[in-house]
Amino acid sequence: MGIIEKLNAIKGNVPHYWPIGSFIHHNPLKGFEHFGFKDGLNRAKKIYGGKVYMEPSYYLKFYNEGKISHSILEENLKEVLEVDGLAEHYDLAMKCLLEVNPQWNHFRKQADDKEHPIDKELLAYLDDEFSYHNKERWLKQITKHMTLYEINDILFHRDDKEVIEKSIIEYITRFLDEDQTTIPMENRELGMFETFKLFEDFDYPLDSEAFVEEALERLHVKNKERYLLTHVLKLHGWAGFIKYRSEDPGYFSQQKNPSSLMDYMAIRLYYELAYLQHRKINNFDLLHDYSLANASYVVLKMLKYNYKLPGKYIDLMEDSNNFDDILERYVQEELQLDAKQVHLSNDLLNNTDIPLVELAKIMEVLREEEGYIWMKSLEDTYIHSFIDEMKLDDEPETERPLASITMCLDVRSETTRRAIESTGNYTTFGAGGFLGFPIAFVEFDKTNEQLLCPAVVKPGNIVFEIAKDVNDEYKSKKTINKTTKKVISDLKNNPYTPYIMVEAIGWVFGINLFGKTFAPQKTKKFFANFKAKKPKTTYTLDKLSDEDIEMYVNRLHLHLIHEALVNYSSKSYTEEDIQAIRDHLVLGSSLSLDMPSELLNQLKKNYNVSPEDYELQKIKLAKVGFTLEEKVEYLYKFLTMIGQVDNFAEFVILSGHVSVSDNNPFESALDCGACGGKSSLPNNRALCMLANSQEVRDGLAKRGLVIPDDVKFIPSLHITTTDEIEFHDRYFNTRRDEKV
Amino acid sequence: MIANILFLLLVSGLPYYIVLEKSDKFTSKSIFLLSAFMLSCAILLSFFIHNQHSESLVVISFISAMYSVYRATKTTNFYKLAYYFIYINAPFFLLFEEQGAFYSLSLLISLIGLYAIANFYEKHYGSANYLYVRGITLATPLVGIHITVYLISIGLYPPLPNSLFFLSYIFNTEADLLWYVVVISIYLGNFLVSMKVLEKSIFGKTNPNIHYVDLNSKEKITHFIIIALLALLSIYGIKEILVWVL
Repeated sequence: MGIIEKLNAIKGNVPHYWPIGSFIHHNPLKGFEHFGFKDGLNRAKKIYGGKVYMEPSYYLKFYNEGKISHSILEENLKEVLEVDGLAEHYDLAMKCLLEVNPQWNHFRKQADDKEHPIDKELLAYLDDEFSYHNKERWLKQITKHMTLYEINDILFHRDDKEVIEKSIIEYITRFLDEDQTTIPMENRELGMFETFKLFEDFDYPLDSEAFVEEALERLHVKNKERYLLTHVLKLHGWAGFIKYRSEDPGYFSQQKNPSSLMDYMAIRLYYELAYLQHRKINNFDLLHDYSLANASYVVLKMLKYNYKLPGKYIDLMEDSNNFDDILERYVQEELQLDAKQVHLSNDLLNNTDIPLVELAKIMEVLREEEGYIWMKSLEDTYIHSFIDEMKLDDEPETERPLASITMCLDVRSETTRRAIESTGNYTTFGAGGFLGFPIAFVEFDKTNEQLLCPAVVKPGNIVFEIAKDVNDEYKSKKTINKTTKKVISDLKNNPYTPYIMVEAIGWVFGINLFGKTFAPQKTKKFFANFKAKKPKTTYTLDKLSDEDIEMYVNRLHLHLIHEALVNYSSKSYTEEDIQAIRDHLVLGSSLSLDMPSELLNQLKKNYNVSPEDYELQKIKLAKVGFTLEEKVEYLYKFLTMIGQVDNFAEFVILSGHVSVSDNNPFESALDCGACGGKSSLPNNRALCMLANSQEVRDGLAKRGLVIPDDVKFIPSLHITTTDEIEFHDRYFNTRRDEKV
Repeated sequence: MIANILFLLLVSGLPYYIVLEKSDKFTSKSIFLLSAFMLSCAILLSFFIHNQHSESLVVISFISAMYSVYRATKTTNFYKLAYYFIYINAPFFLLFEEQGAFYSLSLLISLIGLYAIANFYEKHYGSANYLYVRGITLATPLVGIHITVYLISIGLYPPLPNSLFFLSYIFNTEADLLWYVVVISIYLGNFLVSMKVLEKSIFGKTNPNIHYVDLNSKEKITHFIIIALLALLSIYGIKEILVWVL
């Protein structure tokens, strides 16, 4: 199997990561989904480490409170015992679950203080089971997920790991940057590994795959697949993102600056080789020889690093070099404690029938299975009681609800829905926050588009938010804010002014600091006065005609040419001249003006005024808005999906959600996951606009879905951190409507 | 000169722990108790005998202190650490003259706190080694707070008394080359060692192999007294600084 196949084989273990601009939850166990829950979880545990179930005491509490039914627990235990071939030990297993296992760790503490005669057979079994006297096997287990540089660091008190990981992070963050830095890395279009060669001045003629192969050979890696996995899991967030990019053909940054998991592996291995080349142990064969010669020392060091070596042995290691003796003392103590744990359990179980070795084996299986048994029993009990409590109302609803509200399928919205339903004649519905209405949204006065839909969906329609009213106040306040920000930024970045600035205006920042701490509401209101308030806006929901598209592309090009001429030419040009330049560059018409060819080239290259850009802009603008069929289709799908097809309330509220928080690096994680970790208000507003349009309602009526004329669709926004609901686009007809 | 040599010995200006550590009769705990007892004698004595520093003895204690800094970075045992800190700070006692007594007194009290923590670790976790007992802040936050207070006090963090007497001394003396070398090196030694220990002892995930135990009421009272003493010394230290400022 070649390196590429080996890497592909482990790819599944890398958690999937979505686009870096969208903060969306990703399932770290995605690669294990095909195994089934229990098996997948066990495999993931072996690879990643960590605890996958709660402690037995946690479930025991629920059992004692009656939240776990005894009969369901019995059923699940029997099922597991049958699979493991231990069905005959059911009574013992149940006692273990309820009485012994919750005290297992406590027995170890007790074992430390109590004297107890130890069964020799049991001792021998435990010794073999935990490989205490097979140091090679023991070491293999401990170093299973370690790179060579990590092992080197532990054995020889070095800090290579930090330097290597920092170097890798520095390079990949710069390479994968998506217009966040002010000085982007150059030559990225060559690909991740090719750019890396330039970055590190590394003269290597072959590609990343060849380098990985060579590096693994130089490190004398035996199990290459596992070693690649070890490396991938060191920075699995970045690895997951690189994997995502490389597998998404439509990801723009990937098209521009290609990267692959193989490139990433090559970079990791390059640094590993570079930092290890002058170390005493720089390949696995040397490590093997060293471990054989100093087995006890290596085991002790690894145990110490993994926080498994009790303090008294660490003290002994500081004072003495007799590591064989120290390890033997540790092993003997561990064996005694392990054996005493089994003995104490045996005493509690009053067991006289089953030999201790057999009991130890049964208990070990149970300790592995108990988390699953308890968790399944807890879930099954809940499901049973939930189904029992669920009542289906056979009588159809006849009374027309006053209002209905559709909220996101989100736990934070669920409680609000229950609260609304309990207050009167209101109906609520749940739908994914984007309402099955994927859009690329360009907010008012912003240039970047937000993809408001789940990451797996690619929106085919663009919606612009544009001002409805004159926005002079907004513009003037924005200019003031922009200037203030620029002044502060210049003062901060100047080498001399920060000293004076801190003394002179440092206290101003204190107002915000103390205000937010002691009077957050008042401070928010106070600072809101300085912010530019967005004017009333609407969305571009209709398709542009071909003439409109032509006009907008023309306008864009004219604007760009005008800007370039202002910057690079001292000559003045009339509007007709600029139009002629544009037609020459884009449509290929002849140019009678005397223009320097450098300037024309600059317009083509730097300002993108070219036939290719003309076509691209036309394609982009063709995506703006929706055709009538699309509008009807999206609304029809939405209403039938949530089941709101008749008995419409007078006010149909579609509520998006967002969160508000300060200094929270995970803020977007609190926003709508179905909208790529952003606010879902635009989807709700846009769909309400469609639903209030008569031509869309006529289209729906043709498909058999009639929305009465008095029904008003109102968009709203649920702020989940404060549980406030803001209403938007309220075009109420009467005072009664408004009151309602 | 005899008085100076006596002070050098009493405040641990000579690293006699090198010999004691090799002897089976002395444990880390007893070496700390011996060093702490001798330091207390020096503090008491300094109220009766004028402590005028001799440059050669400061240099000797400084070399010993640097060696102790090195040793302190190699251990993860609170007892050892406690007596290494006495040796690390010996040059300050000699150099600070009158102020040295109060600086050393607050150091001694902080170290008694550390010693009490070491005792607690030994009693419950079998050793005063902190490396195995990680994540103490998450498991038993009160113990974590006490370790933090003692270590930041030793690490010369204001407003704990060590830093205040240190500051007061800086204000009140004239600096020469030896002064710069000793003050900067020992300050950094104290700070870096304390912070390294703080990071490794109180932070991190809890160790699932350990049954964590919290302080009992007797231990809580002991630590409360130690912190109260440090607070009193801080007030006195602030007063000393204010005298200089005003």
